[in-house]
Amino acid sequence: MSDAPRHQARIAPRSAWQAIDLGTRMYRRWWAPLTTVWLLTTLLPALALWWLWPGWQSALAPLLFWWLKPLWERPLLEYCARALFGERTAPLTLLRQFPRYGFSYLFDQLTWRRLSPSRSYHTPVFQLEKAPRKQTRQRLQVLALPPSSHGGALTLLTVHLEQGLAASLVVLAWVLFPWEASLTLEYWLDDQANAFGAAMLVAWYLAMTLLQPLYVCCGFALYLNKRTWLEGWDLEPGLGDIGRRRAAHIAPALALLLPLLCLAPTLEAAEPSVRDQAVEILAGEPYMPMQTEQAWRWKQPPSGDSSNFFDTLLRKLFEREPASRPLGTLPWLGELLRVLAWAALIAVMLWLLWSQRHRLAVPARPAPTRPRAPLVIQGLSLAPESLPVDVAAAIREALHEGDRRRALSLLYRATLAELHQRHGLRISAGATEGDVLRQLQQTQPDDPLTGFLARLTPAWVRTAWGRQPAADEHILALLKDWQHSGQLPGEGPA
Amino acid sequence: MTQHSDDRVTPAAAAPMPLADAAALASRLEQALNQVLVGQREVVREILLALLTGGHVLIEGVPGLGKTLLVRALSRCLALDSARIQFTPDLMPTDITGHAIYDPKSERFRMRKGPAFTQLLLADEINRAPAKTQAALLEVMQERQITIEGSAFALAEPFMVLATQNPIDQEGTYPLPEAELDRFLFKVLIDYPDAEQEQRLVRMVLDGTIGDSLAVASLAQITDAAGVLAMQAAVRRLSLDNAVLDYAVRLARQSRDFPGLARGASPRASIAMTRAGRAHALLDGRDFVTPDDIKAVARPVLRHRLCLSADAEIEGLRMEPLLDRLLDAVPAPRQ
Repeated sequence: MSDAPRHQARIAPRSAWQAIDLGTRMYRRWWAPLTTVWLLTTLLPALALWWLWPGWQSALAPLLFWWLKPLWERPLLEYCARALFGERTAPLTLLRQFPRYGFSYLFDQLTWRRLSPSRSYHTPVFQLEKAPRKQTRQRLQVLALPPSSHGGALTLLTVHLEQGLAASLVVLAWVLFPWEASLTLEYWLDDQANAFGAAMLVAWYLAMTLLQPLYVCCGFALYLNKRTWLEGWDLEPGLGDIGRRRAAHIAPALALLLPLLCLAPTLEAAEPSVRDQAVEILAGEPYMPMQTEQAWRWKQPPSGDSSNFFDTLLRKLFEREPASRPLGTLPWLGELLRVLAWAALIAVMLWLLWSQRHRLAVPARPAPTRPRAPLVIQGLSLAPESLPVDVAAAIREALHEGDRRRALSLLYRATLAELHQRHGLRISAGATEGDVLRQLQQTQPDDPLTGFLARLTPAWVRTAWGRQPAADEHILALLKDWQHSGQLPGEGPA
Repeated sequence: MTQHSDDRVTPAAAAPMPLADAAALASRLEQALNQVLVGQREVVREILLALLTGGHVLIEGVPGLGKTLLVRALSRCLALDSARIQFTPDLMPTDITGHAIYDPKSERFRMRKGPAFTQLLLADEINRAPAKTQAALLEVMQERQITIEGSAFALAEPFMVLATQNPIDQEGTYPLPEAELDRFLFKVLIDYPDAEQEQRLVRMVLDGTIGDSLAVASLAQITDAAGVLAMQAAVRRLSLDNAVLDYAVRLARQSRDFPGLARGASPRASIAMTRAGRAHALLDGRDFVTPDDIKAVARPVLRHRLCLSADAEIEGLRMEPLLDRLLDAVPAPRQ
């Protein structure tokens, strides 16, 4: 921060809202690369999450995406930090360098610090300073000193803006939707909540794309402002400006006095510069206390990547505090509590994984050429498991018991189930038996089952609606037809 | 008010006709009408359904598609009286129903019956007359009687009104009031025949197979008024499952809360669907009604009873796609 001319913003003590305004100015200046960074970072993960858990009903994908926000924000902050010093890093380069800056205290921010209301205000401490844990904690305490930095207010404001913007986008899309299509949509949504959920998710993602870089910029500006207040970052640039102005004023005088000055011993040469003095003071004990730490550490694998996230995670998990740390009279108690806390956390995570294992399983995707229909249509179940294992035997048994209606019902359902399996037969709620037959005659005229259904439907309709059950011989003949025409290619007769 | 019986022959209670015979008779009638009205099979079937149900029909279509021909052919095949009224803005109610004239010679009022005293009444361009004149048909259609000077005259059975209206030329027309629309069993849309059927029609006229005027002399009589009443009685004997009846009611009820509709169907629509569904089953040769029958008659029953909302009209939404959605949205009954 000492190289004043390189700053892209004027370092000066401001009020918190002025600092937030500085953040908005930073966003306005760098919105294009910041948005690019955001899209490169999040678009693929978002699509992957929503592909794994489609729809709004499964809240796991949006919840996971929201929970990982500290991860998505890291490249944005890195870009801001570099851009402030005039270093314009290409977005792709920034992502490639993610292991260098991205994992510092990331685990903390994704676990017990996730719900911190001052996330964007504190992230620079975790990500940019990379100080040891104790100094980080002290730094956070210093940042929390009055006057208030408004980090929580910034988060609260962003959350409301985000929700409002997402809702506005959905309403806007709804209003601009053609009426006729919206009517279709209204009825479609009854059965297709996934599509509505997808629209909500898209709107939410667009809102985040607009607001998340702004949120990071404002948090970073608040952080800069607080440190400017606390550490007088503005003094050196200010003094430098004064010096430059004075140098400009006294240049003619210096030109006159130059011969005399050349004769006098140069004090500057003997005295250390202001900059060196400042560095020396800042590196001193009051500002940067030194301590010796002894701990067991995992040995780095010879060919491993030192920036590997899991190595970092394990190192931090098993990192021990220095022996000199005051633990009172029961030094083992702290260690015990620490182990218990980690064990509890791991147990909770395992329990969550176990309880949500059915959501974690990747759902079977329908084959693109064979869309699957709902298996229960207004009480008429087409699911194979709702039918007897041996349909033919069940039909013969029903006939034996004199229940010809049940026999034909089984045959009709089994035929529809088979057609569903073969062609992904879709039956709308309002479809009648005649509609189903006409639909199949148009779409699958060559399937033997379609021809069979044309013979079965009149018998079934007469039984169901006319209370005139077909004769046993007719049902048995239909059953025989079904066994022949219902076989898939390559199967033998049932 | 005194009740008078019409002097025309009103068949006594028709003898029960076997369902198979009624279905065969209806089928022959349909074939005969299709010979005259080429390329309008659906229209012919819907008119026939209305006849078997004992209902009235509102036909909408551009001129020149054979509406008058259809009425004349129907009259010929059934040996029924027919009359045609051209509705005009200056048409008076008494021009339809008739009126009493004072006869100075006999010093008594003499009844002059209007053209409504018939069995097949073609009310051409019904929306050209003002509401007062249109309302004259209300009593005729609903109660099948005409009141003149306090005396009610029953009409001969069967009685059927076939009213037409032109969908294009709306200048100087009077839309039918809801109460009157509800009294029509069906609204039938008559459209141009497809290319193949039109070619066949032209070829038949050129060959002399059918006349290019309204000549229906080539048609043979299929049955008479008694036969029609017997078919109507046979239709009423068809069995109707409760689930099918419930389906018709649900269709009507759903229309009252359906998006895009300002007004839904009245209970008269549920009754019309079940009655017409029975006739449809008979025409298909069945003695029971299926959900398919209800669905087949739902469009002509509902299309004139429903009213699009203002928003839907502004957006250019049409009634037919909306009816398709309604039929898709209401779950069909399953057994």
